[in-house]
Amino acid sequence: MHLAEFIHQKSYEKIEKLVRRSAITFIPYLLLAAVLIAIPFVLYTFAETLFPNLFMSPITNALAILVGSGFLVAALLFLYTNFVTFYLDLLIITNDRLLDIEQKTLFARSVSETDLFTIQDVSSDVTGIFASLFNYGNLTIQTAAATEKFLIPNVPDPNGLRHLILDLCEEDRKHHNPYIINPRPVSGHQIVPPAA
Amino acid sequence: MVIVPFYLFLALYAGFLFVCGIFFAINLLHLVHTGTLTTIALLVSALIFGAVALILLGTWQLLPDIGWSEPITLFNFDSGNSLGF
Repeated sequence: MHLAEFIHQKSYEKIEKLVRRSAITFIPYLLLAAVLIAIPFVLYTFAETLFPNLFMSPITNALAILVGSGFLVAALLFLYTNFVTFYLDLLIITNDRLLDIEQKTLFARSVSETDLFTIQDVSSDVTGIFASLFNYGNLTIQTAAATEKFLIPNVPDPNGLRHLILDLCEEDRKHHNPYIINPRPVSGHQIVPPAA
Repeated sequence: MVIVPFYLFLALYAGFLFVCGIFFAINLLHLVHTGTLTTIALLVSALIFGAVALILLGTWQLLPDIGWSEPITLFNFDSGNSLGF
């Protein structure tokens, strides 16, 4: 299946940007997986040093190999599941709407979307040493729609993204009735009363 | 005192691998279903599946001459000649 099918992309709609969490935020999972993968080897070395006769018996040796092998497969499964959860957390910005796909766990996903013209405020927030160094942070989008607030954590270049969304919002507002969006439209916009 | 054949542990291992295999497949299906099986996702998937294949191959190589039908005594409190469970 293509992403366009998944989001039911409209004929006039163009995907402007796909945003995933910053790759830097995946490093802790990589480190944890590396520690998990090292555990069987470290334990085997320790056990062999402390109890030299432990792995003399072929049965005990075979059992240790089976347990170690199972543990390594489980560690790789842990890494892969975290990668998929990380990779499926996605913000899709089109020229018409904004879709926030949040993969919470392997079996829990929430998809929220809002039309760009309903967006009232976009704010970016970069806090911390790593976030400042690698330029990633949180993006908060306030809308007038049913889902009032979108919080997208750890996106790369949040300021650039905020500008892009605001520009696209401006563009999208031109195609919608300003009377519905703003009771007091900005100067220069003609108030068109809603059709009866 | 409980005596079980050693292949019971192999069966447990196979069962564990089967469950892990289901989870690996669900992960991959998630990527395919959401249309996000991009080059990076494909590369990571290939690396992970390659590593799993290497582990299984290594396990197979390290277990050549094991008497799988050999009985093992579990919970033998009378003597120390058991796995000591």
